[in-house]
Amino acid sequence: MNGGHNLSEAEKKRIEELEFEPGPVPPLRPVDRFGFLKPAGTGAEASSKPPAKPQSEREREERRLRKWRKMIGVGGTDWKHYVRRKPHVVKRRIRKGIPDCLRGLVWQLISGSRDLLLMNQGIYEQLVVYETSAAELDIIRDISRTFPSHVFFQQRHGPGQRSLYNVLKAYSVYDREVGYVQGMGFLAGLLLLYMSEEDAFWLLVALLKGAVHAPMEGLYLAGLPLVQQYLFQFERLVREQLPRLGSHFEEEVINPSMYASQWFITVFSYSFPFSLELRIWDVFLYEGVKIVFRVGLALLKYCQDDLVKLPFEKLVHALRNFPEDALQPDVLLPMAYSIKVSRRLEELRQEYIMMTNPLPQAEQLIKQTSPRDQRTEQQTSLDSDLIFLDNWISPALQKVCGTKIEWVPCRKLSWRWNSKPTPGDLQRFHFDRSHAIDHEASCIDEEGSAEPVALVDDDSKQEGEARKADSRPDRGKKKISLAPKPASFSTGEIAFEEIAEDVYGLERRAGTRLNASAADIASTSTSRHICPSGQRKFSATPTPEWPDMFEINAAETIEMFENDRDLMRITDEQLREVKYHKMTKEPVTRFAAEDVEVNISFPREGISTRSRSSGIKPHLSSPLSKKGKSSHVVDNPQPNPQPNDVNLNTTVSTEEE
Amino acid sequence: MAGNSGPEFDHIFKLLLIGDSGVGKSSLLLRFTSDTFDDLSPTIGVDFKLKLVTLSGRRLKLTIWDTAGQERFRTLTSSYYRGAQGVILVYDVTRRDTFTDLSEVWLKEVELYSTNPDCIKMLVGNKVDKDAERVVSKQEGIAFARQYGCLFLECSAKTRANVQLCFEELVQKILDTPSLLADTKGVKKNLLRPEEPYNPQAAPGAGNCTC
Repeated sequence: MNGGHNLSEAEKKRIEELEFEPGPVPPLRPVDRFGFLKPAGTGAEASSKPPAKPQSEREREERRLRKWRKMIGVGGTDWKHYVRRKPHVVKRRIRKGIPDCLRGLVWQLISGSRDLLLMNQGIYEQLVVYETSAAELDIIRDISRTFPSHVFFQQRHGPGQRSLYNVLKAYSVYDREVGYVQGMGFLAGLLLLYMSEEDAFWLLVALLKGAVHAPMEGLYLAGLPLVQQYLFQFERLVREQLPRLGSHFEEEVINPSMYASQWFITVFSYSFPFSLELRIWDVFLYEGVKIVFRVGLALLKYCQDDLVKLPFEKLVHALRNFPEDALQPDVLLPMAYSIKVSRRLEELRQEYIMMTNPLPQAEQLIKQTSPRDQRTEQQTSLDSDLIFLDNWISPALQKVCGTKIEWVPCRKLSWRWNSKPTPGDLQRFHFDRSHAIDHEASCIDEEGSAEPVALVDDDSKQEGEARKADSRPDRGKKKISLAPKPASFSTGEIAFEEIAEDVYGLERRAGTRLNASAADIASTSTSRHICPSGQRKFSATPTPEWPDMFEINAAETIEMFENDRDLMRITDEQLREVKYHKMTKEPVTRFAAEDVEVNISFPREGISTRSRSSGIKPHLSSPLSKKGKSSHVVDNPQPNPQPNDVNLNTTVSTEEE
Repeated sequence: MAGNSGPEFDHIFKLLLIGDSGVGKSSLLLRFTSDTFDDLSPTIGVDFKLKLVTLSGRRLKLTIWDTAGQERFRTLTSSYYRGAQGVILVYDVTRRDTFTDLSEVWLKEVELYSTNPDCIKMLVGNKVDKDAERVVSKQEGIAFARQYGCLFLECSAKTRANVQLCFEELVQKILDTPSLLADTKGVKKNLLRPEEPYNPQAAPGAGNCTC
């Protein structure tokens, strides 16, 4: 099967060979930029150099790399800090692709494998050197069949094959229940192209045991339980999200096990273009398995028009051979990001568990395996919003109001600003998060420290500050402009509520989080609580003291809206409506500050007080505790307003109207 | 693409390749469908290939499912036996365990999951190019085939020896078995499908396939 690789009875001998005798170094052949041999047919083009990149692109890449280096710090020292403060920036940058030269390090940082390695020094060596595994022969047989076209794994018994063997064997010893399953080799192989054996091993452990996201070991355990579950979920998602294709599949009796099992088992590392695999893995390690569903759905969606025409046999063939244009990362991934799956995935997971287990066990299972992925993500969003507000909004308000601003937790679904600015002081907010984040990022990148520039208030007296901020050259999107004089805004319009939700998505997210914890405590199913019916209404009670306007950029709003669609239970139709509304009618939407009810307020010391009054005992520690405060649940019904401890330089930029 | 009005084939058959991991199932199939030989990755789950052939004047569309050999994957592969007219059992003539597993494992799987009582089984010993390492003799193969009522051939996907013949003999035998030709006109889809819901013969464990 594997050309020229003999596997006979005397395989023990082969293990020894593997230890001692590398085979001949294969002759030099042209490879692509990732080290894969070029297909024989393209030999002619292979020898010619790829066209040099234009200067501008090179510069852009260099800039990008600099940003990444700053974000990571020396040897990853700044990483955690950065992620905690700006998870959105990190997420966005990762989605654009991790620079190849930093990939190995970043993968270790985002997967949690770094920590595992540090906590378990010496274990790997023990596993490799002293233990034996029943799977050794199986592993050896597959070694030369894993990425056979990559130079690193070409040489028989060479360093690549040897590392691959060691990692797989170590894992099969580390977890004898899983042992070795074909498919794991692709995971390990991919990792080994970017890191050392030991690092790759711990990353494998992190994934299978679930260091950050839900454990993956169910993909490989006897009966492949997680594969079955994922296939079930995927089939349903296809039917729901691509109904035309779904019913065609049904007619032709196509099920996802015919084409998608390897997507899940190898996380797309089996038969896709390598550049795409890497981009998927970047996101997979940071955001979890739902990217696999998303990419799968995006592929089907992209090819839907062709697929629905095909009869069974051609369909199966097509599902295993997607056209090249569908597999371009910059086409496929944005499409994948736009497909929302989190909420349905969780519901379908529970449905699957209920379906495949007797009732008492099923409930137990659902309880035990709370959706870790989802919770971390919500938590991160919440964290980031709070941090964002702290860094950006508070300073501005503080300057304007002359009082400290505290974001305090309120009732479950409503938020209150602790210290109300004096009426009249504040003329207008301009809130554009993309600007804010980009600006902040660029400040950090260029100056090594964050310099949040917050809201704008036209009539406030901060011109000096503003000039200071503006005088810095080359700040990218830092400029925060002012809105024209506000038009009136009817609170009855659909856009209002949605925009308000977008801007202060915190309310929603915090609600989510409270509910998630409530679910844990009350031992009830989580999904029912995650977003109670989605009809959180903003109390839009205009107060006469607040005649001011918020302004939001439509594109950004839509993006945020789409991003949080899962949590908000927005239907396609609603989304379309919003898009339509925002794109056509209100490229920039303004609404009065009081409409968003300056009731909006944000937890600072953990979620507490009012949530208690609604019968929920909070147990999650405060995200902001990471800033050095104690990380305990605040049981105190009246959270102590703390001085704003943002240890960053803050600048309030203002402009005259 | 042929519309419903004029099918481009006379029969459509479903074939299945089974056997231990690494015996050369995928290589055999690749040799048959595209006459190439390459380093192949282990099959994860199932793979699928389509081949049009003309045999005895009849145009045939072969849909061939290639399965993962590793034990862990059997939960995924077992549903693909249903409705197959032919099963190719592959072993590696240089590894005895792959030969003994045929009766220990693979024939049992066929018995358990196949739904065509008359489905044709073809025993194939692969890798005969490695003659020096051979541990399973041709006589053993013949004896096995006789015992279990299979067709038998030895072949090499690497040198292409006998590969075409394997499939041709199997398909010829299917053509010669009238009970297998029902529902192969491509009208009823369910014979192709691993998990079609309304198969009247879906009685697992019928065990007719041992012949």
